[in-house]
This record gives sequence, C-alpha cells and structure tokens, in this order.
Amino acid sequence: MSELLVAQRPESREAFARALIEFIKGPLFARHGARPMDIDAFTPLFESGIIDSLGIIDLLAFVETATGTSIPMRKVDMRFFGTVDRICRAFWTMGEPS
Amino acid sequence: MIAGYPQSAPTRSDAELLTLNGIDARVRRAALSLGAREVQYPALIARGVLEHAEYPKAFPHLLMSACRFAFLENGDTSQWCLSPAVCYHAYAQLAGRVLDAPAVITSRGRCFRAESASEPGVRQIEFEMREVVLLGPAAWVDAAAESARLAIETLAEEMSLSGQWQAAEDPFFLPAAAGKALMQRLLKTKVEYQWPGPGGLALASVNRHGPFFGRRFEIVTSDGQPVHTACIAVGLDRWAHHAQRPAADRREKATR
Repeated sequence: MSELLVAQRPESREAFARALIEFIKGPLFARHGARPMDIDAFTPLFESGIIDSLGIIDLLAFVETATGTSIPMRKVDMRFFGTVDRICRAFWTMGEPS
Repeated sequence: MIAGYPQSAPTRSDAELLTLNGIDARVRRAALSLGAREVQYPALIARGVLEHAEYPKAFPHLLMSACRFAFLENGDTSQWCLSPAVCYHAYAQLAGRVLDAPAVITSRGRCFRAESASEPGVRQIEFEMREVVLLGPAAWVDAAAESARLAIETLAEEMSLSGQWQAAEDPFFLPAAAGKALMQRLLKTKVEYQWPGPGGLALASVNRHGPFFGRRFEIVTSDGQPVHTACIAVGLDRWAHHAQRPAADRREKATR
C-alpha cells in the first residue's frame, strides 16, 4: 500500500483536499478497478458506492499518513467521512494535522 | 443432570421459563403490530443456503456443522449446519419470488455459533433469537426498520433494560474483511442496542443489508428490482438474564 500513500504531508487543508481527491480518482480507483469518474470535495463517497469495503481501508491509511495521526473507531462515522470536505474538516484543523 | 456437566444453553423451568417466554411474547406482539407473519423454521439449515449467503466465507469460525458422529474422524461432509441466525431461512424460503408487496416475517429460533468462550445469558454457543425480517423496496425497509428499532427501545425501557444504540460491526473472520466491518460502522448498517455495562453487550440489533440478499436469492419487487432486506434480532437469553436480575443489581452493573 505504501506506493499509494502521500509522499509528504500536505501543507494546508486545501492541499490536503486536493491530494485526497487525486488519490481517490487515481491510485484508489485504479487499485480497485473502479470506473473513472470526476469527484469534488462535496461528492458523497459511500452512499453511491464510489468507495467500497476495499477502498475504505486505503482511504483510512491515506488520511492517517497525511495527517500523521491514527483514526479512532469512534471517528469512523459519516459525519467525518461522508465527503472529502468532511474528511478535511474532521482531520485537518487549524491549518495543522489533527 | 450431572453436576458440572457443560451445557450449551441454560436449562430453564418455572419462573425462568415464564420470564423467557414472556419476553418473547412481548417482542412477538411488537413484530405482529408491524404486520409480521409468524413462521417456524428448523434448527438445521442446508449448508448450500449459507454458502449462497456467503456466511461460511465471512464467519467460518462461528459456523457449526451437523454431521454424523462416525464421520468426525474422516472429515465432515455434512450438508447440514446448525442455524447461525434465523433470517437465512427466510431468504431461502422466498428465493426466486417476486414480492408484490413488502414482506415482514417473524420467527423465534434456536441459533448456534461456535463462541470461543461462553457464559450463560451473556455469550452462549446455543441461544434463542426472535427475529423480524423485512423485505421490500429500500425506502420501505428503512422506515420499517426504524419503527422496529423504536419498538425495541420502548420494550426495553418498559422492562427497565434501558440501553443505548451504537454503531457496530459483525465479527468477520478474515483480516481482508476489515473493510466490510468499517463500512458497516460507517454506513450504520448494523446498530446494536447495547446494555450499558462493561463490554457493551448487545441485547438486540438492527441489520440493514441493502440489496445483498435480494440479489443472492433472486427475490425481487414487482418492478424487477432486487428487494432490500433488514433483520431485527432480539437475543432472548440476554434479555431474560438481565430481566431476572434484581433492579438494584441491574443499576449497579449498568453504572460500573
């Protein structure tokens, strides 16, 4: 999986959002054979099946690497993971990794 | 009974049996008020049904086989398993059907799971569940599951068994299934009504399966779409175990 992770920590929340979108559209889709499609920060990631049970593990690994923190189970919740925007708000605060 | 002889489930009589049956009667009544039809299913289930539902793949560590004793040493070739849950019977019963209207089935059944440790009333190899199975269009299943969830909560409160609903996941065997567990938690497809004491023991659960079983068992709505399903499971042994404890004891355990 390491080849799919971020090379370095993004410098801002906006950069984190961009990196996350590129990760989902690129390596994550390719790894799980997903149909290519465009997404933005507000695209629902799970209800429509964009990310499935295989992809979520890679997504969590990406977020943990990018923010330098491990995600507690209580935060595995749609309030924090429903969209790229929610992920960024939940795990990247005050301009610093949470 | 021989003293100290292991048992897979509690032996009950008199007041204990009345308590268990009384709890089931109340859950059954709630199920019937949701429009359920009562069905009795056998304790054994064809291995093929469970394979169709991908149960052995997900939970090989829990599934128990019913085989001839003479075959034990030569490997199990039995086509029968002990039912790990009631709802699989319902999907098999309705396999290949077109449902003109949503269906609600309720059934009380003995279930078996090869738990590594057992404690009467808490975690048993053999236990009784009252299930309500919902089959129909997605929106209808969601609404009916919510009604059932509220009915369970009301029932538990009436019996001084107040707990809390928590997102949960099934105990998948393979590490590769970790993603499935995360998705269950994320999408809240499994929520448990947990006793507030240590360990978060589940008294009941609401499990939404989306169109998975509709597809697997080719059960469709009148417009040809696979039905969505959900099942609501109430662990009767656990309810009886907690209901029989004195109220003060229950309060103390819950706050510990």
